[in-house]
Amino acid sequence: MIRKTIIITGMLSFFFVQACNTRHDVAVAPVEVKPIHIIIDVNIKVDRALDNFFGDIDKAK
Amino acid sequence: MGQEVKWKGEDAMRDKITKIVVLMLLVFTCGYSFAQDANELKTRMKERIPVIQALKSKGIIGENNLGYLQFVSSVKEQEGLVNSENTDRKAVYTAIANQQGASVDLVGKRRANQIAQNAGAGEWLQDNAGKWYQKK
Repeated sequence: MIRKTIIITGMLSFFFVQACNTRHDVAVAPVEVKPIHIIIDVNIKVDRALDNFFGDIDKAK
Repeated sequence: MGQEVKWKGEDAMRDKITKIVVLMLLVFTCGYSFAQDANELKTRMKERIPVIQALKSKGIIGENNLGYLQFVSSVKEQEGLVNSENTDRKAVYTAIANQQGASVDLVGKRRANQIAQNAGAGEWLQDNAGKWYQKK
């Protein structure tokens, strides 16, 4: 009787521990944001410089 | 003795001031020279507008995807003027590229986008893939 109780308790404990055990695998991909920002920044600066120079020429067309 | 030290100090100070003034004059002269060049370029470009617009209307020239004029027909009318315009454009793109730390090609491509947006219907344009089309 005691033996059965010990086995059942052991099994219940095992299942209980397994049920409580959770595992989360979160894969984080490397995010390269900086170069994109630099490209956009350069494009904006170049566009602004082009507008400054060609602005009145374009208006004259 | 003390007076001698004072005079030497004054000489050093005078040298520094002279160097600063010369440097400022140099920077001012270069800036003025560039501004003058830019004004001359603008004037020349404005003078060419009527001829360039006429050539575009006739379908003789178009705007390529690098920001330059290009012949799209076998008729090479006003070739000298077209070459001069492209030379001046390259000078502007180079100046902007140096100023903004970008490549001349990038500046030209950005200008090509602006030109395409402002182009009138029927003008020949080259897309990013290199294909020529008439703007609708």
